[in-house]
Amino acid sequence: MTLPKPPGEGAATGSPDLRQGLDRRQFLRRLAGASVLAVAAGGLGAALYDPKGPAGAAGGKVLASLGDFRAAPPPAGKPRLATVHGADRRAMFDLGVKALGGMEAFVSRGDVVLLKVNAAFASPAILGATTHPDLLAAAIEACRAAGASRVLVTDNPINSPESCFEVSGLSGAARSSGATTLLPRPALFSPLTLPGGRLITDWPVLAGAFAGVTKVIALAPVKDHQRAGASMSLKNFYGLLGGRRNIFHQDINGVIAELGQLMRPTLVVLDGVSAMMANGPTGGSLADLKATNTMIFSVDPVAADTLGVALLGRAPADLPYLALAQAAGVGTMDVASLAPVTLTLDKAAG
Amino acid sequence: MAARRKRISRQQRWTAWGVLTVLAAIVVWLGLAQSRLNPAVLVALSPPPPPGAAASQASGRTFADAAWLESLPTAEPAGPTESYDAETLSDRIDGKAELYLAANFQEMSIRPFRLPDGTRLEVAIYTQATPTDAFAVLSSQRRPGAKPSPVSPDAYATENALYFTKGNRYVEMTADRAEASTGPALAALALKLAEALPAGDAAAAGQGAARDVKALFPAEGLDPGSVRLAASDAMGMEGFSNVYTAEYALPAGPATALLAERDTAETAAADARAFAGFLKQNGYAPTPPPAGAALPAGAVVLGTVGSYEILWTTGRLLAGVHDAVNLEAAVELTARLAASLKDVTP
Amino acid sequence: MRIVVARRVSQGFFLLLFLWFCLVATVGAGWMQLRGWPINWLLSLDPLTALGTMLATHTLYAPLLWGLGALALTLFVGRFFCGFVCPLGTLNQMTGWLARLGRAPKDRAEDNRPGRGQMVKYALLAFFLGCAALGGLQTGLLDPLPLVFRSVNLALLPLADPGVGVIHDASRHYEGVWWIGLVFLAILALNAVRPRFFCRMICPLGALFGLAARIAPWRIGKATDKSCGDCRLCESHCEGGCRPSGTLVVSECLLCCNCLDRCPSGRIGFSGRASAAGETAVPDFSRRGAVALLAAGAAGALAAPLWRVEDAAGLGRSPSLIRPPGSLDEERFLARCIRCGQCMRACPSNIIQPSVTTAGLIGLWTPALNYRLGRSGCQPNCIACGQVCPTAAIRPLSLSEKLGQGDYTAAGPIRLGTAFVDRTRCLPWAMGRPCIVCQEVCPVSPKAIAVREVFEPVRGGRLLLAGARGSTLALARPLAVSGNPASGDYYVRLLGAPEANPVRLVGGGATELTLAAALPAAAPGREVELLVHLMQPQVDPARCVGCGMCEHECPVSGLRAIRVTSENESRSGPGRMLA
Repeated sequence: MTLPKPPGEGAATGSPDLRQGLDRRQFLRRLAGASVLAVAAGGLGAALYDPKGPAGAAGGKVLASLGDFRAAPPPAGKPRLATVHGADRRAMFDLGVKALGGMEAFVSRGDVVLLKVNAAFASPAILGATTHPDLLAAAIEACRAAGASRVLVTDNPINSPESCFEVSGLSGAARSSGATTLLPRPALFSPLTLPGGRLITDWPVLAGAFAGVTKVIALAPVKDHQRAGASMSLKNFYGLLGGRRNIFHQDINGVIAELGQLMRPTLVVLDGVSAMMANGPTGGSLADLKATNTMIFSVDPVAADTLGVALLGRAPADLPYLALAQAAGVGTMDVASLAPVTLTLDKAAG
Repeated sequence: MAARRKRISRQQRWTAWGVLTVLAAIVVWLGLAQSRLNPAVLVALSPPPPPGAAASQASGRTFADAAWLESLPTAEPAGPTESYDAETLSDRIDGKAELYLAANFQEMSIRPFRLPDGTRLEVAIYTQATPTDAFAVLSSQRRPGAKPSPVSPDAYATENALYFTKGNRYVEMTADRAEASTGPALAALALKLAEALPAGDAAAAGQGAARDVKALFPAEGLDPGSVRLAASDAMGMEGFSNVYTAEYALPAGPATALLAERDTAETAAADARAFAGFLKQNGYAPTPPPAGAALPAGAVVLGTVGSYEILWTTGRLLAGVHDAVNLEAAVELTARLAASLKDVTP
Repeated sequence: MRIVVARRVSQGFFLLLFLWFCLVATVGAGWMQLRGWPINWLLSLDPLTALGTMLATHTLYAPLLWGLGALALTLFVGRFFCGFVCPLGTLNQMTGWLARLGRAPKDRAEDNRPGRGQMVKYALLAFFLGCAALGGLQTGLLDPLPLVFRSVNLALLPLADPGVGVIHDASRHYEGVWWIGLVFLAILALNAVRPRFFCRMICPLGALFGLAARIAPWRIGKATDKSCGDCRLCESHCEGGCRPSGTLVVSECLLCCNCLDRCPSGRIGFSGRASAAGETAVPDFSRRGAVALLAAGAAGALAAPLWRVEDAAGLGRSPSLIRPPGSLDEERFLARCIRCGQCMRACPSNIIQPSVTTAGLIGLWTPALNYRLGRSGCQPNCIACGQVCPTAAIRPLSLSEKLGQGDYTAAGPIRLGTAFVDRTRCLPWAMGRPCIVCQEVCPVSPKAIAVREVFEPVRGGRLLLAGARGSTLALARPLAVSGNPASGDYYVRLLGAPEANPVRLVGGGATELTLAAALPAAAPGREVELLVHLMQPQVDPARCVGCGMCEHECPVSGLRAIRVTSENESRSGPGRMLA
């Protein structure tokens, strides 16, 4: 690179040598600076260079599953499903879990347990549209007694999450029993594509709530549901979806069957102490409820729902998603294969 | 302005010329760049992709008829062959597809060609299930003013087009001009194509004991180009299918003969009753035949103002006279048709 | 040759080139049409677009590499782009010169004194880069190249069309284009206040070049600090307002070279050393300038959430915001779109419009489809908008990707939205009038609009028969219905026989009806009802691509009876309308 001659003859006058030296040094410094910046700009451009242009879809990491949290199966012949009759949820919970080998069979010391409740609506516990706080409290205490290091409670409700958890009493029960409530927020959702899934593809799910979680227990009420026929343990998993998930109501049975493949829970508890017989899933009146005095404990949500639907006076055949879920390998409608036991609270207590 | 220096430095001069050189380089680059057409321009200049091509790609099926259009003697292919199945046919001939589908359409291939004299023509081969179906699509859209063509017994030609069947295939050849040489050129090409196309085994094609029903129409007074086969909804009656009609000019006035063959004599009789019922619904009333008229056994005579019908069956054949302008014409055609059917084994 | 002559030639060349690129942006292979003209080249030369999209997307789209080249050259020789290339700079310089014809050199020099206002553009640059870093690319609002392309293409060029037909035979329309034109006029008018007002005070691209020019080893300057009297002729035509007679404001020099040319004693030159009379630069990083710049950048960063308060890109998105085919999802789209208007200019249907309110403030002047204003719907056989987008905010689609053919069969066609029939406005649905134009123009194969055929009783169509003879009915009272009963769309049926097949009317006067066939059981004294045969459109959302042909052609010309909204558009990914 040659230095262009300064124009005009004026430059020759003055204090020539000193000036020229200074100028030359400054020029070289600037030349170096400009070169460094130009190379830096070029390097940055090369690093971020995108010859093809953007892809149609946003892309990024896509999950394939929320996890398999099933515990080791009990020895053959031991019950994997228990039905408890009674009216006191706490006592029924203890009895039911004991029948399946105690909470220790599911939760080990140091486990982080996620309790998936149904907190869909900002509706008081007495109306039965949400998981009952007594059941939640019993579950939290049992997990802690079994040595769980942390117990989390979550759901992605339909109404505003804060109101839902507060009004339903679930926040209160979690606080007083020593569990943490995880309210859904955008950062907790990540896209998931279910392998072989038709509906749940590149769909936001509540994956953030599963971070560090080692066991999942789902606590669901038994409710009438206008579109699906009944909302029980499988339909409860709808609360793991984000986005404009109500588009799936166009194929409700298909999506419930896929929800069963999304995540394999450790244990499901289906609370039919009172069942919402009509106007589901919101209810709103005590007249919609009926005392059915039953709680079902199962390692298999399909089996639990197969039994539970009878509480609504309907047959398993009325819920097409049960057969679809069974065909997809989520569980079995053959309840007898789980060596079920039936207990009644009063007798057992006596 | 006046103060501006006249002398400019060499550096300035060189820089100025350098700038102009860069501009000239840009002009050269632009000249080169503009000749590489933008993809948007390429798309705008090329015809839209034919839906048929997409359909055959998507369905992945192969079309046997495309093979007949690989090459034709003396004609240069002027474009790719497009093929359609029952699902995609309406993409190509929206509005008319029903006619083909009703006659057991199977597939269609079409390709443009160019003749040595520059004539552009399109050749379309429609494959129907049976020769009868092919005849049905040919006859039901016979163009008015068409002349018979020697290419096949049922072939006919217009000034710029030629239509024929061979076996279970129906072929349309349409040129873009109607000059004196067009007709012979089309006919020559059609003869070659007709030779190449397989005759189609009538029995294998499901004709059963094949009988050429349309040959049973008596020749006297028949307009040879008027023989038609309605594959479905004949005479406007829903469910009345596979009915041949032929128009006659009689001394007493025009009338149409109809013939339909059914699987059993019972079906033929039932269809005759149903058609008579349909006519009654539409305002026809039983009419006494003129005295002394010798009608076939069981013939029913119906009439309304200016239109008369006579229906009968003989074995598996349903026969009749349709829309005769007066009773005399109806009776006369009945006699002729009955005579023609006399020797036919029922 | 003098350098100023070369500069003027260069400015003229690039101005003409710019106008040529505007002129030829019509899709076609003619010389005055798009052909292969690199109409985005000047936009690609703009390093602010490169820098802004780099900050917003963390990628550099290949054509924008040109911009880094322009920036790199500036690092060595200063703001050559402002002085020799920028078409808006040239227009500003020309208007400024015209506004000062006949003014004395002293007055001119006074106009060119450096002022504090020149700091503003650096604050604007910092502000825009702050926005871009958080994903809201707003540089295009004031970046001179998108601005001048948008203004000339949308506001000026259409003036040459009506009646004259310079570019298009029919006139082009752009929504709210007044504002674009007024901003452009204001920018030109401001040159009466100060020469190159926009370049000196506002231009964020000039600010970026100004920062780069500070380090340039070659620069304009005085060769000697000896006092040179007070003629200030060098400043009489100084475009940058950079005080060549005294302490040179090096970041403001536009390389117009007028000082060099006008100095009677030839003291000013372009060389590899600092001006002998001293140099400075704005903003002064050692003093308040740095604080102001940081504050502006922080304001930009803080403004990013502010753009989003209305959530116009998310839940608050207008359903009528339909982006051109191939547009990225809204978030990524707004990180790239520079509002240059090239897509709007190139669209042969004239349906791509600069959004004024539809896309929210964050999307001011970004492209949105308006099927009423254009000349047709989005044509299936056209990919122009994506091919002329300089930043790939609208991806350059191939035709097979747009139509979902070939390799893209599994992905299906690009959907812009879904058409919805407004049954309260649709003629066959609401008013008993045959129509079905929307189904006819639907270009999707098989058609995305199905028809539901019904026979509806016509008001006043209950008719008492005075006689029935064959296919002719005599009426007891004259017929009084709206519409033309002999049009072929009208049928009659015996009253009280809803199962009977209606018979078509083929003609008739006030008291006599001619039917296509005899009406069974018609007799004097019986009543028949007049029915209209209607085909009512129904959209199949799984097939509809939202091209808007139906909306454009709908004869309900005001608020159309079939309208496309953005539901089920491809670019939104999961969460569209259909499961």
